Amino acid sequence: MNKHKNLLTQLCLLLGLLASGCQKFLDVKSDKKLVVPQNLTDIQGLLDDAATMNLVRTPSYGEGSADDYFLAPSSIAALNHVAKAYIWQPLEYRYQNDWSVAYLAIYNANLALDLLQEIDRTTANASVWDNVMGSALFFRAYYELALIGQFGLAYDAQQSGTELGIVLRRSSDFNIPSKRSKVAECYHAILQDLNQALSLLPEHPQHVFRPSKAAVHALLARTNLYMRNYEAALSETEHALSIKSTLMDYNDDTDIFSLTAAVPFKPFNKEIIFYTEVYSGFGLHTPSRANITPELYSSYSINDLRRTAFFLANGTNQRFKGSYASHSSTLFSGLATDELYLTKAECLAQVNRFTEAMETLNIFLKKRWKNTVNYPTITATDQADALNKIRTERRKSLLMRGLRWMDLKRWNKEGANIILSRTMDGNTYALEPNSPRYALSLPADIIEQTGMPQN
Amino acid sequence: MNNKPIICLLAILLISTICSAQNPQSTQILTGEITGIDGENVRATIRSKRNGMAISLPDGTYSFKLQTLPDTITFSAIGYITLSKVISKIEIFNLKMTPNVQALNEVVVQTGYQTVKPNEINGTVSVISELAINATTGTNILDRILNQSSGLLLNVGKTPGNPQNKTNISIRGLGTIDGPLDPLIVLDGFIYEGDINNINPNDIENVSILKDASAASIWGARAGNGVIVITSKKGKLNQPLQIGVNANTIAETLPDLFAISQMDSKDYIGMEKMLFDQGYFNDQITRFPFRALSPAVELMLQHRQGHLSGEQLQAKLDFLATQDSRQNYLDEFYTNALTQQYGLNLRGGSNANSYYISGNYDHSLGETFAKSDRLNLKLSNDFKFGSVLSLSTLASYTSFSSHSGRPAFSNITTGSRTPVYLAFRDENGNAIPIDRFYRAAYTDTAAQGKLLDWKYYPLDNHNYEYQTASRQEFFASATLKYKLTDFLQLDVGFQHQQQRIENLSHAEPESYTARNLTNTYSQFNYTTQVVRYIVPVGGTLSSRFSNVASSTTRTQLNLDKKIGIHSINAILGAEGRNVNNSSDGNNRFGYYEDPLGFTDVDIVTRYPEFLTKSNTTIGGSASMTSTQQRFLSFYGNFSYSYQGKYHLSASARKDGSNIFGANTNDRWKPLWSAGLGWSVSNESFYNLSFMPNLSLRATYGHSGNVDLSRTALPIAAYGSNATSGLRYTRIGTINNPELKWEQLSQIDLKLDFATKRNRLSGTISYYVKKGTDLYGTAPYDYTTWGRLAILTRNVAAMKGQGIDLDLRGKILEGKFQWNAQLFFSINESKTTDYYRSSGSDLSGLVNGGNRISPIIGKPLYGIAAYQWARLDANGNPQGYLNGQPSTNYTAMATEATTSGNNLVFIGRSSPLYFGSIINTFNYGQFSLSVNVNFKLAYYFMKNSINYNSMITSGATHSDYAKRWQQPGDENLTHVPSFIYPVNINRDGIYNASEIHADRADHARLSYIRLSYTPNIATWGIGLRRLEVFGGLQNGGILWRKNSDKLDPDYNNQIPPAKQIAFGLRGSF
Repeated sequence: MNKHKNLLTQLCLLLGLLASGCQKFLDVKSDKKLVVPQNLTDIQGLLDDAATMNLVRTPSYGEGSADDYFLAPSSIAALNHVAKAYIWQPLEYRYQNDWSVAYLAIYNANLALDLLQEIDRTTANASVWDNVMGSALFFRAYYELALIGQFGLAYDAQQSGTELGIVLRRSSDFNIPSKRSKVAECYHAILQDLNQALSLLPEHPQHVFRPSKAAVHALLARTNLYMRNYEAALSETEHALSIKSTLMDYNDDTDIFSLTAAVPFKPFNKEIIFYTEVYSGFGLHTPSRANITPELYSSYSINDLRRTAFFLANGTNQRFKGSYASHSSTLFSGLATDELYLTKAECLAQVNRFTEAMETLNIFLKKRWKNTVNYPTITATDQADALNKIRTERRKSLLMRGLRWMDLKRWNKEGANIILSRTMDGNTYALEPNSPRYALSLPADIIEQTGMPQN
Repeated sequence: MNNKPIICLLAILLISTICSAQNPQSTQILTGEITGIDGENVRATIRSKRNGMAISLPDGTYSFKLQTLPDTITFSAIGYITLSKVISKIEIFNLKMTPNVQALNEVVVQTGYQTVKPNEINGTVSVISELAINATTGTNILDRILNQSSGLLLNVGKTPGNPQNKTNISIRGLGTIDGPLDPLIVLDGFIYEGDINNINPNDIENVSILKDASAASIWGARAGNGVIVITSKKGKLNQPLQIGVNANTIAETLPDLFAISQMDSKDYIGMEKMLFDQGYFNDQITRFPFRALSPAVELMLQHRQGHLSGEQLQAKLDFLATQDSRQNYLDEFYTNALTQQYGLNLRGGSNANSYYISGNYDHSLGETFAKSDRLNLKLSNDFKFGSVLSLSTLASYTSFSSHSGRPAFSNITTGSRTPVYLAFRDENGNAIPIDRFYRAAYTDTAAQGKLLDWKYYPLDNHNYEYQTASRQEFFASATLKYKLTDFLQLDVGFQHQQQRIENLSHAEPESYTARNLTNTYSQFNYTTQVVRYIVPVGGTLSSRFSNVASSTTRTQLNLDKKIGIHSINAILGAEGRNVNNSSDGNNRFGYYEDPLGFTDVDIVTRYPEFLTKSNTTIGGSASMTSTQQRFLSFYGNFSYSYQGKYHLSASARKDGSNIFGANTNDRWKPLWSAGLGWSVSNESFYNLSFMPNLSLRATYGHSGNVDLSRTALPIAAYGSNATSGLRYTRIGTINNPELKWEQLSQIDLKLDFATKRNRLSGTISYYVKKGTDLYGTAPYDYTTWGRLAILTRNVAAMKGQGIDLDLRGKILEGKFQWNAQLFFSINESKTTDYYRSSGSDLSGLVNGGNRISPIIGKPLYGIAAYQWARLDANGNPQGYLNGQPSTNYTAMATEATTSGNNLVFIGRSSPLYFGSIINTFNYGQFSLSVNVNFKLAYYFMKNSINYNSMITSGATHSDYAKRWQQPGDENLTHVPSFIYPVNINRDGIYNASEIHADRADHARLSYIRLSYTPNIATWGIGLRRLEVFGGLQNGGILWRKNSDKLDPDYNNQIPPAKQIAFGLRGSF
């Protein structure tokens, strides 16, 4: 019996050891690649996930609804039920779409901000901590601006307090219900985030996938421009240009393969301040299918290098090939210096400094003109003339960049009275200047899940 | 006169006669040797009414004292058929006893932790014996156990939502909605992590199916779906060397490709011509002139471009109209599959050691000429050291290799279409290339012909492009058993399993894949006429190596004590397991096998694609995974019997795991069960002599079902962005602090009975399963996190209930025997709680019935469909909108998802009743066995023509020929007219209408098997036993309820081919 007693004691000891060692035994990670984001590197990683934050992400519905292109009847026939979007009628569509893709980037930003609360900012980690905070705020503002530009009507100081905008999410907890905020709230929230981010980011980013001071200024410029705060927008463009103002010379530049090439611009060219791409969406704007509106194309002079760089003949039509995304089927939608120059010119004209406005415009356009031919300096007789010419050049430079829809809306608010028109199946459809359809349809399943009002 | 003396004399005579009859002339001893059919010694009890009883000795010899002759003597032994013999004179009487595997009380049940008799446990277990396993042949053990038990169902055609499901087998229906569905597989006492195809059925002794809660409680949180316990053959002590051989061949008929419905080729070409003339393809032809068109359209384009005359076009189209792709595939790519299996085993034992050694080799040629080989080697030993210590060891090795074959049906597409007239040879029978992705007319002149040949050659390509796989598995276990006392035993066991898999995908330089890749990234300088290769000319090799290694340690204390009328059996143990999984994948370019070499290629930079002009990366970056799972468990099982009449049992298990993110409470989840049993027939008041065995059992218990891929914390994965060089973190699973493990509880009531001499015996059990806190997906507001439109939460509950009936009967006994077995199951599973957004419930069931669709109150596999209101006068299908017939398809689709009033619930799409009937006839040395399985009371959705699919991908259906073509046809057909442009919603509603639903009840011939067992021992060639057998497997449908002659389980798919199997089994 003694013998057995010994054995039993040993057994109990073994079980005891097991019980205590069990915790350690089970503390092994089950998948070496899995991680719960906790430290600063992990959180920065959330914002460095280009596939989620930058690439093929920004809303596309607006570009598809804008007038820089038209579709051939055979392409329209292939659209099936999405054809409604082509003629600006309410469209019922579901996941996956502009909304889900943009809000995924916003989730990452919100999660980064939530996780950052748990980490103390010390002198040792200050620069990384600040970069994370600033980047998260920037990304959130960036996508919110892109979304409000598409799903809300143009900013109007009187009416935006009552018109519906987008959802402003401020936490990564999905149990908090979504509500549509007013357009005014949305724009103010964007400005707030950007102003907070300004001091936290470096002047130049490690890679244009990441935000920087220059990007914040450029985005502030865009936001203020959309809000028609021209003084503020002007000051922001100047801040941005003081950090980065390089322009490519289309005649010859290290960042250009060749103007006639199928893809003329090298990836991440020197004009880019912050890089994002337009989401594929319904495919209306896909370069291989979208034919450039004839009057737009014919407005480029023979000696205008943009004519060669941006367009490729496709039968009797022209297709867009000048994407800064260096890809024949993806559109660039980020922040770049060419936009800054054009915004600056427009703002100067708006505050009645139209001579300076034309100067800025000429500095910019000279880089787009064949240098073997004399550059015809553009002048303006008055503010209205200046604005007209600047707006035309803005459209000609920044086409297929996800910007046209917002430009149409805000110019119509200033009385530009631009009417869009498209034909389908022999019928003509028009979009009136201040039509409520300028605020595009939200996804049907979002409306079902949240009960929010549809546009 | 004086009669008194005579009467006295007579009386004395009588008395002395009587006395002398009771006094033996001498004490006779009957001796002999009793052996079993395999030559093993049998411990038998010899009994007779007049002469008492004796027991044979361990070496098989016996001596039985006989005082009176003649006498009827019975020989009985556990596991053997009782024999009776009339003995009239003394002689050496040797006899052979035949094993009786069907006797109710002699079957042993393997739970993986213990070996018990069925009457010792309260749980419900089905045992599939070696005889039943060998009723069919084939290389996969799971195929062998189907149709040999109640409650076991192969869910054909059901799409498992969870990627952890591999077997499609369910035991007693479903116990979960979104969680893992597979039963747990245990091999020789330990959880089996390898590939089930590694197990060779020839090595298997029996399979126990543990069905109720008492099973799961002992196996833990992965056993909620039931457990399949596979036990290998072992040697026996005191058994002379016995050599077994087996060889068999299975030949299959050609697969029936014509079970797939297709449109007539002439009609199809007519349809393509109409589309072509209407300009449907113009968008593609102008924008993507290099993209492949289907062969007929290509010819039409050539004609339009002036390369073909009208007569030439017509001649070629006429040729295509005679072609049927199904026939062409059969002719070129299919063959009769053939499988050969060979095996040799040796077993035996002395009084201190027993062994079992086996080697098996299988070779298969698949129906598409794929080849595979498998070699299994096994060595198992049991050593006895004295009377208290014993050691069991097992080592096995499996090597498997396979080589892919030819393209399977509809594998080859032309520009993403599968034209019904696809031909691989021209009018003269010569092999022709096919425009698989690109038009040869375009690529032949691309880069002025300086690129590599860009054509796809279907008849050859498989010679240059193929996949090979090889698997090696090594398995070793050792268990040391020490008898502490005569009733207490300590087992310490260790098992290690390692499996390495290598998957290679070869594309030799002549293959299409290799040429296509090189050409795609080639850059041609039109001035210098020089081609620059970014991807060098050569082949590609994609390799993936993966490794699984698991180690398990177990310590178990066994108690087995009888104290008078009390009998206690208990086990208590602890077990730790570690499973490591890793994989490594790589791609090589410019690959040549001989001489061996490859070239480094830039897979990071974007290069322009020659045809599309887009800048893309070449892709094919390397991959690595590494996971480690750890489990720690404590378990105990206790059973108590009083007077052999009343049984009490209980078990419990505590499992812990390192599954990431679980907090401590979730890691330690106790699972328990309890049972009561009553052996009614052992009661003193029980006197039903026609039913000598009757017992009742009841069990109740809890188990868990854990999905190893889920967790409650936000899970991110790392990666690196190739362009920026920055490391990224990506959230794959959102934070859900409310996520829990699934709970399953089951109650089981069982009745076992056997009539006299086991003439009729069986088990009937009734069970109810309740699953709560089940994982369920539900759509949610993805504004919060746009990665997915649905999330998983523990929101669901389900209930399953049913009856399992096992009946065995000896219908005819005597020279001609007829035995029958019936396995009959009733199972119904339905959702009791599942979150759904606002909107109609039924719309979730409009999916053909092949996915689990959780709708409260409805079966988990169910079908709903649109109400049908006939074709209208223009041949348009009509459904109902607001109660009226309508052709407003968009509105009807909306009504279906909002109110569902225009939908109707058809029924379940998984059988309510299922089972099999096995009839076995024995006459002399011949035996014939027929197994018919049946599935009843369920529905399936038939396919029909979908015009949108027809136009976009070339998927067709023979219903096209029945379509509405002129007014009045709406009274003759329900197939809508073909309109162009097509309307997706019209097609969708038509194909989801109730007219396509039909009953799926059917019965199939599982197998018919004839065997001949000659008295080989008398032939004197050394063979002790020989069985020669042959039969038909997968015999096809014998009866079906639907009148369209469709196979409901393989609806519009290729059904399994019929197999003819024959072989022999013998022992020396």
